[in-house]
Amino acid sequence: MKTLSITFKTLCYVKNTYQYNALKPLFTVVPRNVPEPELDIDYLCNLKYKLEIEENIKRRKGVGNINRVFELHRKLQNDTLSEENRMDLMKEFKEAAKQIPNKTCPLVALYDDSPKVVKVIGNKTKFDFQPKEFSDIAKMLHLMRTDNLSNMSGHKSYYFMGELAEMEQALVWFTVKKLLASNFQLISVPDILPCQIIESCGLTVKEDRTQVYMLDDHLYEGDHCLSGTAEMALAGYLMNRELCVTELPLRLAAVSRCYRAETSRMSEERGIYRVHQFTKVEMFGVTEHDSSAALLEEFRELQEETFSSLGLHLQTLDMPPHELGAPAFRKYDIEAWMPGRQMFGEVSSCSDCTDYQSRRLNIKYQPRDGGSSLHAHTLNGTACAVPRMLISLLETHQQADGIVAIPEPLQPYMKGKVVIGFQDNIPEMKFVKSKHKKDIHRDQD
Amino acid sequence: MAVLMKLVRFPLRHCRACVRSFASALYVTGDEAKGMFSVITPHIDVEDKFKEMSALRRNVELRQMQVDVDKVKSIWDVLKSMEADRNTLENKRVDIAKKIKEIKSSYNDIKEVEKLKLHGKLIREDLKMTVKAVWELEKKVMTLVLSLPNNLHPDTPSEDAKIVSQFGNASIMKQTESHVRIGEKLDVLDYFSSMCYYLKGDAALFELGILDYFTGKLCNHDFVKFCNSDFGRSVVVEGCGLDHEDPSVTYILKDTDDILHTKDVNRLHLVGGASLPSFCSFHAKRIIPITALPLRLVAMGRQYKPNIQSLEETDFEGLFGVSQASSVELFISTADNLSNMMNEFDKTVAAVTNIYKELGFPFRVVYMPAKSLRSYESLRASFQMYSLYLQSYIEIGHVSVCDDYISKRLLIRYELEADQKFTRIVSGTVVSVPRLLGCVLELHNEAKSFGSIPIPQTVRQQLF
Repeated sequence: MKTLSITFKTLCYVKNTYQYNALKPLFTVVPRNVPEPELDIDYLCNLKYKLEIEENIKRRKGVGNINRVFELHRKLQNDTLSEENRMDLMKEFKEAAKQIPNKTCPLVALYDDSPKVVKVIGNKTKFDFQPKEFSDIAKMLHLMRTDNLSNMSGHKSYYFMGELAEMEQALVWFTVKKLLASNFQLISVPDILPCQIIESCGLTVKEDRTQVYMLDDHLYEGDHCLSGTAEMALAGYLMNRELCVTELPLRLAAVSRCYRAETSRMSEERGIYRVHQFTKVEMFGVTEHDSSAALLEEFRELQEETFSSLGLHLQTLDMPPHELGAPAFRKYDIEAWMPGRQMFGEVSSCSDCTDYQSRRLNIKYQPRDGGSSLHAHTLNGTACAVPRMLISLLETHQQADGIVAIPEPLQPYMKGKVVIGFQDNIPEMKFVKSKHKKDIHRDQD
Repeated sequence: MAVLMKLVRFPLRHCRACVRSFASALYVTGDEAKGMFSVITPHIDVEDKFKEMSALRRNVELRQMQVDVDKVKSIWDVLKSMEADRNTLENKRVDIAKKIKEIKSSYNDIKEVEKLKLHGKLIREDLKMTVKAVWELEKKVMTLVLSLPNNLHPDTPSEDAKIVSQFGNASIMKQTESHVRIGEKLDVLDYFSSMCYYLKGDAALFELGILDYFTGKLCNHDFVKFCNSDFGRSVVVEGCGLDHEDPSVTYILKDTDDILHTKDVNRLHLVGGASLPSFCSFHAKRIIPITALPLRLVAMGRQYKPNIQSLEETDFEGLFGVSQASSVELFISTADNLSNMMNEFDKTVAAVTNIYKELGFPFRVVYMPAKSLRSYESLRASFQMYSLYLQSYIEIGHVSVCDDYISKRLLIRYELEADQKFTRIVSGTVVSVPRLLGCVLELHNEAKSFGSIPIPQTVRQQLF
């Protein structure tokens, strides 16, 4: 009841904000063209910083060639270049400069190659029986189907049935309500985006081991990708906008279906640990250029609070440089204990991207004391990735007789149910490989 | 021809030339079976259809399909006679082989054996050619046969939609501006194109709440909640009676090494979890015990359609023509009894009508005429609201009778003792949120904020 009244108050606040915004157009009319990146040339092409940039690239994933950037920059200083040559060189220069990864947080640069455990919450549940793995629990209670689907709905596809499907929805509502109560604004986002936007967020699309599904470009004009996280659609929403400083820090939340083409043959990632499509609640933040660190901590605390209230044993990791993707300045990963697998599995992460994305997508704000507009800082984090959460929840709350206790905060969203038991309203269906009986007889005539 | 008609009717903004290669993913002929894994052998019962040619002709005519059924029948007959020829040749070959064996084992007349061997060789060559010819013809014929539509239910009107029930009448209200403008004014909608729109604030909550509201109400009517897969292979898309090669019917994904496990024909399509092909993927080639029927399933999630057919052929559709819609989809499998299926259909239509009634907005329920039916439908009850901007009715949801059309193609069966029979299916999209939102915004174009739009207390409690 208390949560509902808090949410109502928050919603009134949200409603009022929107009424205010409706009167004064806050955002300017936005063109949908992905802009040319406005990179920090003063930093990237300054000899003073060249060594530290090189060091950074080495410690990160090794992508990016700062020497090439310097070389092209020097060539462009030549006044005697023809117009055509200048344009070609400029294009090459921009491509090379775009690839340089974001700076690394100085605290993180001190770590060697392993992540630093920043916080541990809760304890490993003590079982007086052998805890089962998620796939065994789901099989026994008839909650999920993964077999014989490859030829019908694609590799590694899955169906949640009955109360497991209800639990997915309960998780989404629980997370959304929590975010709304923490000053987040909910946005519904598209799942199909132009590839350019996805690339501007720091993900390469055209490589061989791509993580991204695309629409067949022989059939559909333009390059369209299926988004792997709502972060991309939200960044696309903010593209080319000049925000008012009174709106910052801006907290956005989105529930979306995420599509990822990456596969894994690692046995730890079996089952629904790594799948091609799943539901996720995402957080996205925009701050002034010096306040992103504070909001990152806020995101992390929110995640820790949400997951621990569901009874999970967690550890928060501050990731070392080589685990950071190109846009990230600093990244926290939160892992939950999965007793069935006897391992910690990553259930969420949150990254501070400083001005990497905003420089590529032209996200700016007007500073308090006037002057020219500055690039905002962006952050993103997973509020709830359903499959991993379900693995962790079912394995943690399983009971000796095979049923699963529903964590208290989720019970109101599951019509007050306390446990998940065998789904007797879903029949066991036989899978038959051969033809229909009558057709077999006909062929034998 | 059919493809050209489609290109004219639905302007495809995002489509280059569609190359029609007439390759069925559902029916795989013998020569290709070696190189390509045949996922399913559909049950072809077209002989029964050909027994009633006049009914079939009328069916195709009323649906305004460009199919010459007489031509299909004549090619089918040619195929049958060729198959008979092949069988005769095969029998002859077997006979000769037997005779040769007999002679060899008894009096061993070498000259006779040589004569028979020569004869046998000629027969084998003939047979090879005939088999090849049969496969070629089969490919053509099966594609045509598989494109024949479902029967028409006697309740389906021939010409115009038939109004079954009506609650409130919005068509008397005056025309408003489009819901896109209204949504922008209320700052709840950012519409860039049919492939890209954002719902903000209260509208985003409305989306989640409506999905929950409809699903929750259906679960009270013995529906089981499911969370489905969003991809479907060509086999399933074709199995549902949709054109798997037409990029304006479903989104076709680019092939990559990761997702290409079979050869080209069985591609991956983005259909969305709350869609008919997604449920069909789950049921294909499976046998349900009869005690579980009627099996009522409901799923909420995304539905992706590159081109939505509007009731009025207008250029501007806003939220009514978007490619991504959050929806609630239902799927009911019933036993092989026409009255069973119609019972479920009537019950479901009544239940959904009640849910819309409680929502409080004016709507009507109509049976769609034959020309508006999809291939797999034999009867379609459409839940429609009036768009004040377009001045026409927009379908928000529907419930359709699919009978055993899809189950025969995808081998969806149930078991009674030792006998296996095809299930009869009732499917439908209960609500498509962007369409509902568009109509609601237009109905309340005077509202100062989204929250002030009158939604009944029961729903509001669920939403907030």
